[in-house]
Amino acid sequence: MTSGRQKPVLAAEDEESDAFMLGIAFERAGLTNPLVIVRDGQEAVDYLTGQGAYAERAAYPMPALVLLDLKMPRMNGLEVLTWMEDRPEFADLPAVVLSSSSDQSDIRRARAAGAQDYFVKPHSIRGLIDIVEALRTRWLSDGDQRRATGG
Amino acid sequence: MRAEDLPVQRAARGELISNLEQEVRFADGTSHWLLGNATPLQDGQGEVYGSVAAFVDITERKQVEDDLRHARDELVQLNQNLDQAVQARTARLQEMVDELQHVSYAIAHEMRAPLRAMGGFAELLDQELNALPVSADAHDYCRRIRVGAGRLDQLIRDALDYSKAVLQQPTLQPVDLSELVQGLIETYPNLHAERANITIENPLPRVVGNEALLTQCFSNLLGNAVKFVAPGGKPKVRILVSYPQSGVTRVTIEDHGIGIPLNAQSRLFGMFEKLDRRYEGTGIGLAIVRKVVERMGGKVGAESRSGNGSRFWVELNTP
Repeated sequence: MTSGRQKPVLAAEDEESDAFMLGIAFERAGLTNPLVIVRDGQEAVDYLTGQGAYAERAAYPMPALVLLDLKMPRMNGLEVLTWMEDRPEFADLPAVVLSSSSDQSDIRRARAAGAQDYFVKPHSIRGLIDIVEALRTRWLSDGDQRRATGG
Repeated sequence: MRAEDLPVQRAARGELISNLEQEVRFADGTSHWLLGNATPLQDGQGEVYGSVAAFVDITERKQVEDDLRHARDELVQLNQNLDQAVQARTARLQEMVDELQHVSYAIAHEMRAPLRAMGGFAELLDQELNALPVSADAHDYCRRIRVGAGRLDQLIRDALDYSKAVLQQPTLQPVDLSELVQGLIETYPNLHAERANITIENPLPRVVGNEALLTQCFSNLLGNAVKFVAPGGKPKVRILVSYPQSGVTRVTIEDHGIGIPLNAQSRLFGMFEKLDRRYEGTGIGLAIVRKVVERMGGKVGAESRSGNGSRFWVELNTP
């Protein structure tokens, strides 16, 4: 399967139904990168650093993209962005926010903390598919091609 | 007081005393304030041989002055106490407002997640139904769930915008309206050239305002201008600038839509005022427009163009 070769997308999302629908949108958009859902920012950090349950890199490969909700328990999206910004090893790993907030101050803060893109959660599957397609165009296909030709 | 300090004695030694206020203890033990004037008496050679003095008892006046000073001190003290009390109360109120705002944001966020789930799963269910022999009603029910969830979500967002406009103290600075409006037209698909003819008649100037509030104001006004049109028609909107008085910029948004009934014009900018059931909306948009414009020190107004659309204007300060 292609999913064996492709890097996953790591999505931190505490809202179960949002995570479920994101999976459906990936499927309908025909995105072949596997979607890995973690439940909050702390789990995203654990995944990225290969800690605890995520110790085995072969089973939990480094993602091609990190998708973050802003409001999450334990560690929120902004905290994850700041944490990533402080670590040069993640300089090439794009982080994108998918949040229900369309508040200008949230968008500004996320951008300032290092978010490469910011999407407001739509309330239709169609809208979510559009976002997933935009993610593919901006962060996944190009990047994969670049990496493929570069390597 | 010693006797030699009395004006009459000092004048007798050659000193001229004018309007000297002294507290003097009388023989009966009472204390009096005296205003004294004394002049030395001189002979032909300039030798002082005596003095003449006059006294007025000013004890009462002194008392009144004293009372006045006390009253003034007390007033100052009271004022300070009042200031402190007002400051403390304002701080408490601000704390409450902040807390309420925080709670309302949190509740709104928590409410919107299940709404997204309702809308999203109704959509998925609708698609699943396509594979089944169900009546058209089943699809219609799914649609109704989606529309209802969408409307409530919009309502929550609008209400949040409104409360933000009411509660937050905006920072005001010169904002380039031309850039802002152009940006809006590019951002909102409804305002794109394929869907609406929007003409900016004269160059939009800079105004005193707040970018976020101006965005809310003009996205609502332009959104309305292209929304309230007869079904099937392509909206035609003109944006005009005028200067009704020195220091004031008026931006008018003129549409060719359905217009506003005369009897409704006064209610237009109120909360939850919906004039036409056929058009989707929460009835908060214009209330937000009025509130944000007022927060920027401006004014709003509207007029119907006798069955030929309406004209909404916003007056803002010129930098």
